Amino acid sequence: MKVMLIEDDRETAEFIQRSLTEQNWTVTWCPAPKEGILQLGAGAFDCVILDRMLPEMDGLSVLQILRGAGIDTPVLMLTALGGLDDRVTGLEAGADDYLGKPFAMSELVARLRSIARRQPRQTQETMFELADLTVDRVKRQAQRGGQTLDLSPLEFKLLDCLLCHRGAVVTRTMLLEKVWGYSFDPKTSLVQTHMSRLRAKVDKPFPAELIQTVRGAGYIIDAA
Amino acid sequence: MQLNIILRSTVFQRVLASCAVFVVLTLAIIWTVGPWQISQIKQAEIATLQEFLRNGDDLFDDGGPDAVIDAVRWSEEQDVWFDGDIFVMLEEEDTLFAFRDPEGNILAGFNGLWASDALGETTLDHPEIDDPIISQGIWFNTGHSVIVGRFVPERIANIQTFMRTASVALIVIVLPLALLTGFFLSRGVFRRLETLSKTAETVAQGQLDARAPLTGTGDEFDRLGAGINQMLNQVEKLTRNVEAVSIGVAHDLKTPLANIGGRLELIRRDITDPSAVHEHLDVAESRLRGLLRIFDALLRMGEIESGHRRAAFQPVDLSTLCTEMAESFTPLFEDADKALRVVIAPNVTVHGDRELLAQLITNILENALEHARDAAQVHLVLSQPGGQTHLEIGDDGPGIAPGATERIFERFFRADASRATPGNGLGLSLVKAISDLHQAEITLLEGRPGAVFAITFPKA
Repeated sequence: MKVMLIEDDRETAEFIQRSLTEQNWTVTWCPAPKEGILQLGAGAFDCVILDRMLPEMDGLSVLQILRGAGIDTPVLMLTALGGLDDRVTGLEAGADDYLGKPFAMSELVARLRSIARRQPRQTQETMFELADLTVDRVKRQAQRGGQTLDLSPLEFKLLDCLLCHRGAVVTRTMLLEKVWGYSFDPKTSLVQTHMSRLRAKVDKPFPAELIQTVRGAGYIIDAA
Repeated sequence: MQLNIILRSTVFQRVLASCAVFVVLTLAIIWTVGPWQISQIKQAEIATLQEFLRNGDDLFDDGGPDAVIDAVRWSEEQDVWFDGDIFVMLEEEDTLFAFRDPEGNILAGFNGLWASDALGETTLDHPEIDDPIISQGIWFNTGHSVIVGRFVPERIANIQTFMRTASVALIVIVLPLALLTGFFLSRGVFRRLETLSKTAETVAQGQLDARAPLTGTGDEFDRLGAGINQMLNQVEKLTRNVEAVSIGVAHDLKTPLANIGGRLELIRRDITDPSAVHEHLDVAESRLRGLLRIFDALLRMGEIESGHRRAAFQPVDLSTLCTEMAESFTPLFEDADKALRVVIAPNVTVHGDRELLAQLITNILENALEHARDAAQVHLVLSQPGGQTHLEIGDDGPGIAPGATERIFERFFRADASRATPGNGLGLSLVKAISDLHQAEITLLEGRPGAVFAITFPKA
């Protein structure tokens, strides 16, 4: 995966570059936004990590220039500003995701995978099939091995969200944002509790586990 | 004293200006009305005088010189008036006459009265009288002449004297008086204001509890002072709050930072033992998460208290939100061996921020989850009594210690009983800030076995 990193802080940039390189991703680091915009126009990147606060130009302006020039490479915006409004303005300006500093590397990786161009966009599909699990997104029904699963609406949403990112890690905060619509982090184990109930229904009665916990990162669903 | 300050004071300048306007207006009135009155009087005099002249003309035409002599002579025995006669005459009459033959010899009347045939002002040819006199003569075709004279009435002189005296008095007495009045008035005002600005200075120098003294009369200075005092109360409260928060932040950040530092040290020591290192890392990471949570909560609180979010308020379906929250939290309560009972009135909508309202409910439910007794009954009730939206969330024990109830919404406040459980003492502050933002009233209900929060939203 080819990642463009537009970030002026050397330490943050090196940390990101090193961690992503370990994932066998190619990271091009541009401290100056103009350079980054030029390179994005010239080459094919799978996604962009864009810092919100840059020395010459505001990250939002960079995003507007990119989108205005018809460059629709998915953008994940990084920010030290964690306000509710900042998140909204970032997403409205055309960012595909928004992550506040400081962040866990696993969170960044999961989110990049989720937005990257190579990730097939599965949100438009009406049916998901994974091994013996079928999910009808219109009827909001899930079946496994021909058996209808009795899921609560929340559990269904969780399963649906995992399937939208099939094969990729979905973090706890991504689930909070996408399933619950929260940008705050509840103290309690809200996600874990519902996830364990979901897994008790989806996986426990069956020989193969489809949903896996990735320690310190999140959850992943894939054919065993 | 502060003469310079007083001279520049608004009150002084206003008093002076209004007096100047008063003086100028009064002068203008005097100098308009006075001359007008004088001219009125003069015209009446002239009319009378000319009436006499016409009478004289008629008499001469009808009866010749004798008729005129008859009319103007001093007495039966004496045709001509003498200097002394005038004083006697003036006791009763105010008109003088002089009737002369063509050669100018006096035939009757007073010889000292001279005039032309045009109306004019002269004085008498008399050793003692020099008062002005209005006079006019008429010449008959025989060469005889009659002159009529009337003393300028004393009223005119009176009016003129009044005009002059009043003008001088206004300028010489009223203006300096205005100056003095202005001085004392503005000094009075200045002194009252000075106490107020002294108070402000004292507070600015850091003595936050200084307040403006009030006279108790309820005048405008008292009201201003009361307003300032009210503002100072608020400022003091906010400052104390900020101080408390800073101390709280410093204290609450120091402990986890010290923990992380300690773990780093332990990692250095146990570097050869991977399982120990992992354990230290886990602890350090969880402390770090706690720290970040505090920062997030503080930032969010700042964001909420700034009120900017209000601009993005929308109708929020509270019934649906509560139902979703209940669905989210029921399994958590079950796992904690507690029960969540939910009663939700349908179609209840409030004007607000969906996510913040979700956070408000989450924080209270998490509180119940953490602090309610084992097997507690927790309830969430959304109702709309009398059109008012009422949300009640609470448990049935053990509740909040009596001494702590007043402080639960303070930042970083943690009741002694909750010190053993994880938390940062910001959850309920955030709840309070969110309900304030929604102009909702939140209270901890009294006389309940547990902690029960009632939130009343304003009528839409």
